[in-house]
Amino acid sequence: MTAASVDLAARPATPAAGRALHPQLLVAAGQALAGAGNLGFALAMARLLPPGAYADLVVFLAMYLLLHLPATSLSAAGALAPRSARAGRALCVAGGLAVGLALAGTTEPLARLLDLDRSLVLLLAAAAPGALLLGFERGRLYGTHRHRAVVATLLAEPASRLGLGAVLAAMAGVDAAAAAVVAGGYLALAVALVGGRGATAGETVRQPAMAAAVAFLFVAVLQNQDLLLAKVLLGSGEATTFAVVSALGGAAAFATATIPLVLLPDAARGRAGAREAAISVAALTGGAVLSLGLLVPERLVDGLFGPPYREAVPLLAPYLAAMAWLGVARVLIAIRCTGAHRRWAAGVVVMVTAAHAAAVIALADDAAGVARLTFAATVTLAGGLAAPSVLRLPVRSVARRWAAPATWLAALMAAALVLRIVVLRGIWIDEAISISQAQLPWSDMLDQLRSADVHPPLYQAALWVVVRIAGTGELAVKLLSILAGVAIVPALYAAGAALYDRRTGMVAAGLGTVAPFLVWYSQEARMYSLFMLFAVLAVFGQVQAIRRGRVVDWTIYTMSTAALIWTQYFALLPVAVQQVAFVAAWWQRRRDPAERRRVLAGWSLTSVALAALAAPLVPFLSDQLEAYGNRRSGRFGALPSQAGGDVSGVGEEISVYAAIANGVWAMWGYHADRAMAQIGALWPVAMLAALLALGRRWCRASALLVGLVVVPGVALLALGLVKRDLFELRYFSGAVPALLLLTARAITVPARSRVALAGLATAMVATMGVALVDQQLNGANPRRYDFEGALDRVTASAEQGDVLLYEPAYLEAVVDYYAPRLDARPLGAGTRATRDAGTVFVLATDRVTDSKASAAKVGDVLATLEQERAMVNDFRRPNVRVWVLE
Amino acid sequence: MTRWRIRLLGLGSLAFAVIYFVWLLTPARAGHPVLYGMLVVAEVFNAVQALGFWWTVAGDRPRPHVPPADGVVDVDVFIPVYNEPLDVVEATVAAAARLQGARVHVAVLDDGGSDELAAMASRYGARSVRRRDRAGAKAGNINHALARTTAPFVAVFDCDHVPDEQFLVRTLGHLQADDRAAFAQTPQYYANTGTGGIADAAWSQQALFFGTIARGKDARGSMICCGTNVLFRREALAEVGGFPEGSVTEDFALSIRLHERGWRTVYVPEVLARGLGPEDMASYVSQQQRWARGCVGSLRAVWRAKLPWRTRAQYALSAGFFLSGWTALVYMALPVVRIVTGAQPLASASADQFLLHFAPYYGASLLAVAVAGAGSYTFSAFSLTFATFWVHVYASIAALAGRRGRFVVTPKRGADRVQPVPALPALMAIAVLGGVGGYGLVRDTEPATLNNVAFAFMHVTVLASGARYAFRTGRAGRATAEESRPAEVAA
Repeated sequence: MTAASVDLAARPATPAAGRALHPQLLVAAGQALAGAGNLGFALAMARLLPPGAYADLVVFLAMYLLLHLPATSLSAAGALAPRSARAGRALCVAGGLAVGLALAGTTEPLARLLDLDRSLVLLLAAAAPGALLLGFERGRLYGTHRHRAVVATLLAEPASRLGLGAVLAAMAGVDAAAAAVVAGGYLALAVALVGGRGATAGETVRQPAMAAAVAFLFVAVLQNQDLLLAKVLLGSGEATTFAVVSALGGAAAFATATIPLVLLPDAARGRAGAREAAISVAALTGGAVLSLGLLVPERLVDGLFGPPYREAVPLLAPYLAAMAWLGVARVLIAIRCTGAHRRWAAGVVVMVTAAHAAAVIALADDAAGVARLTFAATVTLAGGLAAPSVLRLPVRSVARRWAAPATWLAALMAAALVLRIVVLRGIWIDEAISISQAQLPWSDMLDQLRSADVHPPLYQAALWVVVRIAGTGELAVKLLSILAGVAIVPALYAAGAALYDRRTGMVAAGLGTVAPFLVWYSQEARMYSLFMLFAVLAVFGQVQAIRRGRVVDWTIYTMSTAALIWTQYFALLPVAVQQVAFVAAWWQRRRDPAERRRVLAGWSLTSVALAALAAPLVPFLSDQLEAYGNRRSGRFGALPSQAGGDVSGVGEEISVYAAIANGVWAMWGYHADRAMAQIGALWPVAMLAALLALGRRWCRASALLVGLVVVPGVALLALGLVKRDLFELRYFSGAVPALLLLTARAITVPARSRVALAGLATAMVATMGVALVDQQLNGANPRRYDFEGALDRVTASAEQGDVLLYEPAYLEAVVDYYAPRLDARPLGAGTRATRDAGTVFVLATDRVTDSKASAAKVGDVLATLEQERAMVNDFRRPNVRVWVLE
Repeated sequence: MTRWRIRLLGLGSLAFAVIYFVWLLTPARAGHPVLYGMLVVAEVFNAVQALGFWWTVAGDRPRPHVPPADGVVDVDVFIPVYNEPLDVVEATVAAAARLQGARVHVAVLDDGGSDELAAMASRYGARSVRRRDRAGAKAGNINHALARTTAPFVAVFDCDHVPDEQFLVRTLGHLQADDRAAFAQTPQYYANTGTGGIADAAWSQQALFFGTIARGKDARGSMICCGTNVLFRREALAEVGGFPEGSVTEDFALSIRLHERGWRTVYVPEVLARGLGPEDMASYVSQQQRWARGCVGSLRAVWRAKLPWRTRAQYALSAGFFLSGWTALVYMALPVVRIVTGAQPLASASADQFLLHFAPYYGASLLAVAVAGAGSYTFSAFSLTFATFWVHVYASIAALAGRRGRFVVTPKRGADRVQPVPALPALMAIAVLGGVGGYGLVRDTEPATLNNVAFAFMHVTVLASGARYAFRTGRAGRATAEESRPAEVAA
């Protein structure tokens, strides 16, 4: 028996989490210092070297890190099998020499491929023999619990880089800096060898060592491949921008890199508290770095890299979030590789890495695209690694405490939050009007809502408060919707668990996290996100009230339903379905008088309460209806439907494809017209789904949900025959959560095994994820109105005396929002005002209610202006076009 | 409540069917004339089947129990055997010997000539009846025994169908109460279900028939004999000359003759015997081939029979079901032709309108099946029927050619190896549909092409689901009748 095992045996069987936290914090601190040193080196180089040389150094560093990719996996293997020193060292030295020779032998083609000097490639070759060995030796230090030695070897590298590299770079440029990096690696190796002398190894755990080696190898590839691909695929400007983001993101990833290595030997031996400690440290570290990126991105970039790299600022948050997820994912890999899901972990890592590379090559055309794809990859990775635990719910064992539903819901909510803020789109017309109204005094706002709006006042009232607290910034005005969009995730879980079971609830929550429709309206400063949240809560409350009938259940039902009505008048449709459900519940209890009385009493009381809560809306609605009747083609009546898409037959008669389009929007969000036509053509798949439903018994919960989907949809279809724009999913958006719950049920019922459940749920989430990416990033999405981009460009070049003409007139609010200082007028005001103007900008949207008349008006004005002025420029943003005349 | 729900659904489905066919049969809808003709024929065939289904199930009503009359009656219990495993037969003989409600005389009709079987039968007080030849197969075997027995009632059980002790108690009263009742049929229940094997899917098909359809046929006086789990009046059998020996579905042919002579029939919708369904693909296909050839071959007899139109229509519907494989072939061919040649049955401008008119009809039809069958008819059952479309095609061609089928006993034990051969036509169809679908995707991603690729995908999924049973061994899905839990026919 070794000393280490005696030591282990002497310890309590389940040491406190705090005890497991100590080595984590010690090594994390060392790593943070090392990271700070490396960052300092990068900063120093950014200032000392010209941009082109700096980009070369960054690529060199990326290649240097690539060399250390196997080293990372060898660290994992060494941490789990520290006794295999002799064999491990021989393997590492031989492998390192082979790699070094190969690099030296292929210097010329590599230099051309990477657009690097040959000297840098040769330096890489020189670093290779030590790279693998360094990783292995560090792993042995982790495996033998020599955490102080780990810290020492971690600090050795930046010490050399800063001490030697900065001086040499100033004197001899990028080659000298790279040489200092190589020297730092060998110094770290020497420290590791010295620090590991005399260490007594623990037990070897061969199987996990192999799985961990594979998984960590690929996760390291995943971490670094985006930089290389960006360098190869993008132009130098975008590549440099990404290099800056990558440097900062690399620091975030670097900060959490040691956590799984500290964890591995402890997790393999089942030491209690080790996993929780590792997860906590990874989450906190990642969260802290992400917070910096969210709060002070400009300061980070300006302060650390300087103004030339400001293009990187918008990319910082998603990329830091990606690296934070990566940190968590690595801990999950360590946990999986020392547990029962080693192959699963390795498989997930390999697949996500490959998919990420393919996606970057196929889809990314700028630095932002690469950053977003990396974010998507890391979120997917963490989700895939977490899946086995999610599907094992409910988890009661203390050792699996971290996998409890609450933990996973928190993770899903975090993912939902990130997805809802990572690609915020600009304000569009309806939002701008809402914001404009919210800036009015309270009574004026209510007057305007009575006379010029068609919605109940709850959302607008809440926005009024938010605007006074947080201002009218984009994030501030969208805050309510974002929060509702995040809150709907646990609400879906609760409703799914109440209606069916917890598995269904968790799948529903997962679908709600990525559902493109939910994400879309979570980003819109309108009432739809709140409406969907209240709709879910009302279902949850009603089901609980009927089943167990506690006061809190009836209260949740009543308040949610009242809020639903105060948010949108079409809430009356789901409320009608609720009432039918109460009738059914009452009828089904005909053989149990006591139960029947209970349901009837609660139903009666809540109906009275609902009537009382909704009563104040009646005069408000009456005023709105009167004003609506008096209005003909007024400002709001002429707004585009936002239904966007020829396939849905906007502005024409309702077609079958309009119904299909609404169904597609509900599940997969908004897409370009062509994509919608293609998806709509896949309706035979719905025939298949109907066949698959044969033999499935329907429960009452499903009947309620079907009612909540079908009744509002059919009612608005009927209304749409009279007024086309009303057959539009957002007006019955409360049906979408019900549809998600039904989809979750359709996934969990046929999935008898965990693997089948994982496969079906992953497939569904994957389709939604792909649709989400297309919805958010594809400029051909007809619902994306980039007024922000267009007006930013106008205001950037506009000077005193310039005039902006816009068409149609209802763009006033959005122009006021983005360009408040511009002299802006509707096109209908005529061209007299432009006589003395400097530059005239004409802005129009592509999708308007009366496009022919609008286009004719724009054409007339442009022709008139061109008699006196020259058209110097015109540009397009999604659904917005601007002409510049001087 | 349920009956009204079914009738309401039937009426709704009928309305949607009328809307669809009025639209479909307008000449302007025609695209390629041949393809249009094929589509119309297939759709009309299925609509007739659907109408027949709604009409049948609209009469679904529970038949009240009629207790047996006082006094002891004699019942001959026939168990036809032809080289089936002894343990399978023994369970049935033992249960037959325990039948209550009458004085039973169990006879094992052994066409295999097994001494072991005779010894086993004697242990249970049963006698073994043998004959010199095997003329007329099962029908000949029963007729041979009829000539050597005398009881006024005759119960027939296939050797793998274990009767419940109450079988005679629940059925005898119906024949005693009605002198013109020729037989009382009970469900042919498969007990070897619950393992996800082919027997489950086959039972799901049976459950729809022995549920609402059989009850509906009974209400319309048109229940057919299914050859097992049935109690006959000897007088009725004698009047029609016993079981017809010229058909591979002797029970179906017998029913026609009985109805022609004015005999009435009874269906008791209670599971009173538990049998074994096919446990592998070859067994299933063998059974379906026999039924298909027999029923399709009987269509001519149905046409010629002197039957009331309602009864004739019920027989035509039952026999005509075995032509539905042709419609599957048409539906599979249409997307293939469209992708490869561009020709399509409907004018392209009407795609949107097609969906508008077709979707309600399709949805209502499926809903009617789901509600009327109380969820008993599953996707697995449908896919198994679809994947064996070739059985119907082959059977009808053979019937048209006048080729007589041979009575083949359905194997009672599943094979211990995979059986890709019976699924070969389905696999070929999958290959063609998959290949053409892939070709379509490579060629273009226009909505019209995608629509046909989606149809191809749908067919591939259904075919694959049905064909998968060929790749399960019988052993994997095997369960004995004794191990299985009892079940009821969906009400």
